[in-house]
Amino acid sequence: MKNTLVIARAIAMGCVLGAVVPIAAHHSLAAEFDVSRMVTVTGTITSMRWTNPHSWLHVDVRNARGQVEKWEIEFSSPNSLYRRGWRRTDLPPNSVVTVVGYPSRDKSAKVLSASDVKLPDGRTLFAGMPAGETP
Amino acid sequence: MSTRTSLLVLGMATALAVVWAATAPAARQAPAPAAAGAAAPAPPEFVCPDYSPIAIQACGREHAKTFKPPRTADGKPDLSGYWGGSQVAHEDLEAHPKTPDDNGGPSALVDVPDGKVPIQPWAEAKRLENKAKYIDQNAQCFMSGVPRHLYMGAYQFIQTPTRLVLLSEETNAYRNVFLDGRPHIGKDIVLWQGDSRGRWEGDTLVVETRNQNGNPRLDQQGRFLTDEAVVTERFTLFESNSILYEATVDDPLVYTRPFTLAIGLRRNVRPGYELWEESCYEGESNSKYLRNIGYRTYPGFSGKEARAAKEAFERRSAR
Repeated sequence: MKNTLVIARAIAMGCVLGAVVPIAAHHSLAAEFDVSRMVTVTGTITSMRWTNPHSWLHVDVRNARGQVEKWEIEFSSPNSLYRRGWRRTDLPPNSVVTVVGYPSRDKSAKVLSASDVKLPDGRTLFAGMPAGETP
Repeated sequence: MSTRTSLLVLGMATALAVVWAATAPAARQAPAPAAAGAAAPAPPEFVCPDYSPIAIQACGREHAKTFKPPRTADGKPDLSGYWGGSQVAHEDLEAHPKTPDDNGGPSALVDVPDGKVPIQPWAEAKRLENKAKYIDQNAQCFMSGVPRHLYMGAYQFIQTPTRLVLLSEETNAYRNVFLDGRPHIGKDIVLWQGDSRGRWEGDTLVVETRNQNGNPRLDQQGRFLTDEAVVTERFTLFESNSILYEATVDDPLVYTRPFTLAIGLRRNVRPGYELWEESCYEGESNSKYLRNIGYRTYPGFSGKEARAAKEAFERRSAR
């Protein structure tokens, strides 16, 4: 299979919330994202933008109809990611990642606020801001 | 209070109690940030707990009575260094539970019996409108304003005999607090972070801020200030690694009385820690999606607008 892989998308409702570490964003998540559910997306990295106030991972995801969807995954800031061990080499283009996060309330947008990311090498890193942590 | 409301309050209180009971005070303290590639040292032992603003105010004041602070060459307590602290007040000044959106915590207020922000009825309606309609300033990379600036991230304080510079990594924001007795800048200019003037009262630095522009909101719940607000902050070192930070908000157009919040600012002792650039606008995409679902940029709220809104509200209420 080429650069885009078919991947499952699982939606977990309600009961997941109690197990999720909240994200201390610099603004409310709930205004923009549906924090009542989490979505799991697996796809192929097209690019990672290490920008402020949020980094953005761009991923191609093949949906159930076989079409490629362009997803944007919001991460914490580059500074906080770096201080927690993330490096630019962790997210190489054309590799496959699995992301768990909250979906946008804008139904026209394929956007997630990431919580956990499973990297190509099998590691799982937290992409948000741990509770109470100074950036 | 209705039965339904009583049950809701009871439920929230229970949820908060469970959260707090499940974590020891030490575990609730903000961990020191990591330097690039360095292993995290054990956090310093802080002498007062963070879990309750009322407790940290009382404990900090008690320790300050006997603590001998490190001093600058001109004999003032030395506030220089890297600092951080609890950020839950920016979620909600009042007590709120842990949710996927919030870390949760007690009320940040220390001088109101019920921990509730003493907001006027017309202003409560405006607050709800703010929350429902307008994008939080931090989401758009605007500055936090005062006092939210100091419960919103990582800081470096640089102190000279005539100035305390408060640097924040968030949005590259800074405040110049002048200590040389100069007057405020006057009414012709308003600023996101206002105009701060400081003076020493014993070993406490007292900072008065005026001339905010009526744009920053105090928390993510839409609580707001007008451009006529006066905020008085007090910085008191009460042990080597802790500052008792108290901020009194006085905006009689909006609130029924001044109110004070308290936070423990904790020294960031991570080896090699630095503040880094946060060029906030480059990746700011949140407002695009927020606009798509109806939110707008907050236009600010002046004292003149507050008077008109209050009069209109009272006329409607009298009918």
